[in-house]
Parts: sequence; structure tokens; C-alpha cells
Amino acid sequence: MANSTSEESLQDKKTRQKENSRLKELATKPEFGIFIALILLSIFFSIMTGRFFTVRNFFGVLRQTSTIGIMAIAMTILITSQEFDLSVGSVYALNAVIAGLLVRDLGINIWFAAVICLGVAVVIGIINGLITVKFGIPSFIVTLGTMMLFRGFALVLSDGWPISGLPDSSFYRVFGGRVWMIPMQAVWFVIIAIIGYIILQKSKFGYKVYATGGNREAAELSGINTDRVKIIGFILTAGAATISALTALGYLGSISPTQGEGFELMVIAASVVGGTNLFGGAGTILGTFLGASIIGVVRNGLVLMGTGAYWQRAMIGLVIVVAVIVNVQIAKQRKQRST
Amino acid sequence: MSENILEFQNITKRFGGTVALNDVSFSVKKGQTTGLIGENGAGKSTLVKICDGIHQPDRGQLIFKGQPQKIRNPKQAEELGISVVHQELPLCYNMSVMDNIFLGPNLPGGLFFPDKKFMKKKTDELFARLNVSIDPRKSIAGCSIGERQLVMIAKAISKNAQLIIMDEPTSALSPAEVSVLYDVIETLEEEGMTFIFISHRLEEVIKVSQEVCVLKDGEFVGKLSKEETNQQKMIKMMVGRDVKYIDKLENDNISQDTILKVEDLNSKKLGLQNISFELKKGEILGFAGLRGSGRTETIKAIIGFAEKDSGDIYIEGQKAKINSPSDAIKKGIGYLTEERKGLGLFFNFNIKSNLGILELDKLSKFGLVQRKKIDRLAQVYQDKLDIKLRSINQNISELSGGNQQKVLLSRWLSSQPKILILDEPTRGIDVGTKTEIRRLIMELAREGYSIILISSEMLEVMNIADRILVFSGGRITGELSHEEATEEKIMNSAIAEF
Repeated sequence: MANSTSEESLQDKKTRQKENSRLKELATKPEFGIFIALILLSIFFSIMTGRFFTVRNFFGVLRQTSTIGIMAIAMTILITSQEFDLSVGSVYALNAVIAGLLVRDLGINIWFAAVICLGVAVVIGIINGLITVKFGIPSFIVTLGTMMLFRGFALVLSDGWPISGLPDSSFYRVFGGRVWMIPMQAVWFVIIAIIGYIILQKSKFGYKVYATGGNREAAELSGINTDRVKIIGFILTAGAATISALTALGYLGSISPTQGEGFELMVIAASVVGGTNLFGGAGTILGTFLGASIIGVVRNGLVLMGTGAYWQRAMIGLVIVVAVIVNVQIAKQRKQRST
Repeated sequence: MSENILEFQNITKRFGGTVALNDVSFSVKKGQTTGLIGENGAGKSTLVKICDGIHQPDRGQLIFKGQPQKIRNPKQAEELGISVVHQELPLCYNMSVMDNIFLGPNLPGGLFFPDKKFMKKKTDELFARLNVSIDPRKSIAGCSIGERQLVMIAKAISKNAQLIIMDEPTSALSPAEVSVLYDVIETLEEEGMTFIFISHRLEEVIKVSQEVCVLKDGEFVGKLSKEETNQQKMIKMMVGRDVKYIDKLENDNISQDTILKVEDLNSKKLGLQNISFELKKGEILGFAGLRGSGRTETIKAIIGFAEKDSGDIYIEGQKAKINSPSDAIKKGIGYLTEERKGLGLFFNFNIKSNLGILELDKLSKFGLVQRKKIDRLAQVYQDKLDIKLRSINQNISELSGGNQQKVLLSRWLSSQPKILILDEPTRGIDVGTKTEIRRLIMELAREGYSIILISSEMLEVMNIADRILVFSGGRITGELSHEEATEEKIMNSAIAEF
């Protein structure tokens, strides 16, 4: 009898130890810090306003975050390969305008128009990528240029006017509708995040992305075509910007040629807050998902608290800087522990 | 007894005017280790780069396994079975051991996903072959340098390498790691692997090699078999005799006063241990030793460019606190860097600005730089050092290396330092200007400058310096007067082990 109880307690201990070590392992994950920050912010807003901690608002935040978040997923892959894409905000507008015009002026089915837009995105990605790798110009500059170029195209094509009054289609329900109470935009965000996770962290291509960003010369010497890796990265960001634009179109039903201005920096911020290294080689999709969510939560929480729009901007900026400082400190500590 | 796996036939390689390799011919036997030794600049690295296709020989050919080969890039070398383990290991530090081993266009696995189980199993097998234990899932960032090297060797054998060239593999290893490396080499030799082992540590070369080949000034000097190798013989072959002699100007200006005194300088980061020395007023003190032996590192610690753990510095008997190069300049220490391009010149500036940058305060009024003053300063030094230029408003990049060096030297002279430290002042400079600068250094000492001269060229130190300190492994391992210094004595101290 006495024996069996002591055995039981031993087993208890073992399981407890196991749980303990699992918790410790979790704590070493790079996303752990950002996850804790997200929880703390959520608790703060739940205390400050009763409207924050509701199922409805949860999905609302996820929906609002999706526009930036979808782009941030692809941006994380690109930044990990050591490149940037500042043109995502403009591609977000340009492809929406193209879709709108195809439907309104040429009477093309909106589903078909969406496919054409994705084709345009591939071409845009190749243009950004080829200029960057073939001419050896920093992508920061290349995409700064194409950002203005594509914004210009969007304004020229639409003559600066918003596009609305498009015929009804199942498209709007698939991209912008709701399933039970879940907004489709949020669903797409999660789907893209899962796909991004598989591409970056599970696939062979993802390995090459980490290698390219970690040590380009070593990757080249191992026979990896780093140029191709980067070009594919640019295609992914342009593609993600387009999918994001389609979900926005699905939700709003209308298009503005000036939509998405300034998004590129929010997208990069979401990725960096999520622990992506600006100099390449390190970044995770879960981190970016949480990073984008932090920005989303802060904005949403401040709105619910009735904070003015100007203050919102300032606070989001502050959160970005603090989050990055915390991330860098955690990374430093981890490095010290490992050596 | 055994066949040759690699033969160099009359390899010649020029870079501009300098001959890096001149008609080098020798062979490497299969299934054993061949040591390759020579001073800095003897042509070892160039030879290695020809083997892995980074350079192509101007004349001569490379015979690998009986076939003449033209190797155009490292990838082609790898396909042939030649792998080079450089000092700088091309690894992705953000990835794991096994990721790095299989890094390449075709990771194992299906179309889309890599087969991690297979990678781990294979990596375990590779390490078992090497008889070492490293966790394949460990991050490269968390590996020691020795482990990283073993990863590179494992990667090489995973790609069916038949010849592995190791460039200074032991210079950053702990003694325990070195013996692991020996064991790995021995294990692989038994499998029939061939190694070329390049090192400055002659004892190690003797230990691992069946044959030792010696290069000097880009020429093949000879080959020693295992029985013939001993340190004295090897040193003699490495340094040989040299006809390029520089006349020493008598320096009877050396005072008894100590201008700089360094006491028990230590730095873990720079690898310096117990560095103590004195510099007399008006003296030229030579720092000899191999690259990375602590010469430049000592200076960096003195001028506060790198952190030191302990040690005191006295200037003219006064204890000096120097925390940054700017402190050092204020205290009267001028340091001409060995990296002229990286740490010396501003390539976006013209000649006079490069020259006058130290003395901006004196050259300006109300914060504005006075053109007349800076022009005059540039003129003075152009005449004094005979700098060959079209105009002092020319961009610095248009000058030859020798004249760029003169501009840098003028920069430091213009601040009239009490102590002038010259780090490799004649590296990468044409012969004529070399002689000019060497003369100038001796003349400066006569004028009363106290000079520390760091140089990898033994003859330069021997012939110019009044006294020589030899560095090895972050310590001072020898002190020689001008009269007693010979190349062999310096080399003996420079490769001293402890």
C-alpha cells in the first residue's frame, strides 16, 4: 500500500517534471516573448474597457489585422532572405484597381479578374526581383521606386476615382463574408499564415531562404541559386498584397486607388515586431502572426477606449519600438546562454 | 609506392605586377597528408585558390587523378572531389548542423519537403565515420570552432571528396580540439582520403604529414619526407636567403629616456597575455611575428581601439588612461593602420582632405575649414615626402598605393605625434616606394620620432629596427638587438609554442 502511493507520487513528479520541462522548452521559443506581450496587452485592454474581451471583438481584431497580416507573412519570408519590398502597399491598390476595371468596364467575371490580378502580381514580383538581383541594387531602393511607379499606375488607370457598384457575385461572400460569426478575411489570414509557415519553416524552399539570409556566400558555395530564392520571395510579397487586396474588395465592395498608402511600413513593422531579423536569416511565421496581432490589438483597444486617432498613431509607434527593444534583448540573452 | 592524386605542373600566377606563383611544380600522393608551409605571402593561399577554382593559373596546369583539369569555380572543384576547408568557414550560423551539411540545391526528401529523419540519420553516420559525436540538431551558432570545422569535413566527405585541403585549420583551436582533428585526419587517411595541411605551426605539420612541401616568394623550394623533417631545416627552407637588402642608417639618436612603457597588458578578446615592453625616445622598435600573432592586437589595445582586460600604459613616465583612439591621439600616439583601404583612407575625399583630417581644428576658423591653410599643409608634405600627384584636389583613389600610403603617413606626421606606430607601412606598395618609405622611417627616427614598426617582412624589420620584439600566440616570445637579429632567430621565436 505504502509502496503504491509512493510510486504514484513518483509518477506524479515525473509528469510534473515533464510539464515543467515542456514549459521551459516553450519559454526558449523565439515567439514566447511576443506571445506574453500580446497576452499582457489583451489583459490591459480587457480591464480598461468591457467591450474588448468578447468573441465578436476577437474576430473583429483578426479581421482588421488580416490586411496587414497577410502581407506581413510573405514579407517575413522575403526579409529572412535579406530583401525588402516597399511596393506592397501600391500593389495592394494597383491590383484592386485592375480587378475593378476589368469587372466594371470590360464586364469580366470577378473570379476571372482575380486570377488575372494574381498573374499581374507574379509579373510585378519578377520585375522587383530581377532588378534587385541582376543590377545589384538594394531592394529598398528598387521597391521604393516601384512603389511610386505602381501607385502612379493605379491612379492613372482609375483616373484617381474610386471604383464601386460592381455586380454581385459569390466572390464577395468567399472573400469578405462571414461563416457563422467568423469573418472570411480572418479565415484567409489564418490560411495564408499556415501556408506561409509550411513554405518558410517546413519546405525545402524555406531552408534555402534561411541559408540565403544567413550566409549568402555559403549558400552560393553550396550550389543554391540565391537569386532565384529572392525573386520567388518578391513574387510571394506581390502575391500576398494581391490576396490582401481581394479580401478587402470582398469586404468593402469598392476600391480606392489611394488605398494601402503607408501599409508597407506597417507590414515591415508587424514582421519585425514578430522577431524577424531586419538583416535576414531569422524570422518565424508564428512570430509575425503575433506581431501583426499586437499592432491590431493596440489599435482596436485604443479605439474601444475612445482614444483619438492622432494618439492612436503615436501609441502604435511606441508599441513597435518597445516590442523591438524587448525582442532584441531576449535574443541577446538567448545568445549568451547558448555560448 | 602510391600514385599521385594531384600534380602541379609549372604553375605561374601574376596579379598585376607581382608574381604570386612562379613556375611551381610538385605532386601530392594519394591516401596521405602533405604539409604545405611558407611565410606570409609565399603563395600558399594563391595555390589553394587555384585548387578550388577561385583563381586560374596564367601558365601551367593542374593534373587531378591523372587528368589535366581546368577548374573554374569552387563548385566544379567539389564535383571533381576537391574540397577546401578555409579559415573562414562558409556556414549558415542561423541553421543547424545537419541543415548545413545538406545545404544545397537538392536537399534530400520529396518534391516539396526535406526528409529530416534521413538528414539526421545520414549526419549521425557521417560523424560516426569521423568518430566524433556532435548533435546534428545543434545550431551552428552554438558550436565551437572545432566542431564547425568537423561539420565542414563531414560536408566534404558527404560530397565524396577525395582531396581535402585544410588552410590553417588549427590556428583557432584548443589543444583538445587539435587532437580530435588529428584523429579525424588519421581515420580518413585509412579510408584512402588525401589531405593537404597548411599551417604555420611546424610541429603540427611534422606530426600529421608524410611529406612537407615548402614555398618561398612564390617559388617551390623543395619537398621533405617524413624522416627528413625537422624544424630547423624547415625554417631554413622557408626563409632562405634574400638579396633585397636595405642599408641601415646609423641611429645614434636613441635616448635613455623611456617614452612609452606598457606593463602586463592582457586581453582575452584579443588573445594577448602579459605584454610588457618599453620604447625609448628616438628608437625604432620592430614588431615581428606572423599575422594574428598579437602585434597589431597589442597596438589596438594600447590606443583603445579594442578593450583590454588589464595592463598599464605610461607615456613619458606618466600613467596614461586611453579609452579610445581619440584619447591616444591627444596623448601623442599616431597609428598608421595596416588596412590602408579599410581603416585609413576616405575614398570620398580628395588628397588634401585625407591629409588634413587630423588637424581640422588648427586648419579652421569659426568651424570653417580654411582652404589656404589646408592647401599649404598639403603642399608642405607633398614636398617633404615627394608625393607624386597631379593636384592636391585629386581624389585619393587616383593615386598609386605607395603614394596613398605617403598621404596617410603625412596625415600622422602633421599631428607631430610623440610616438609613431607604423603597421605594415610598405605592404602592397611597389618596390621603389618601399625603399623610399623605409628610408623615410629611419630619417624620422633621426629627427627624434619614436617609432614602432610592425611588419611581416622579416628583412624589413631586421634592417630598419634598432631593436626587435617577436610575437607569437599573443605573447612576446623574443627580443633581439639589430646586431644579433637573423631571419632564423626571428622565425624560431615567431613559431614558438608553449
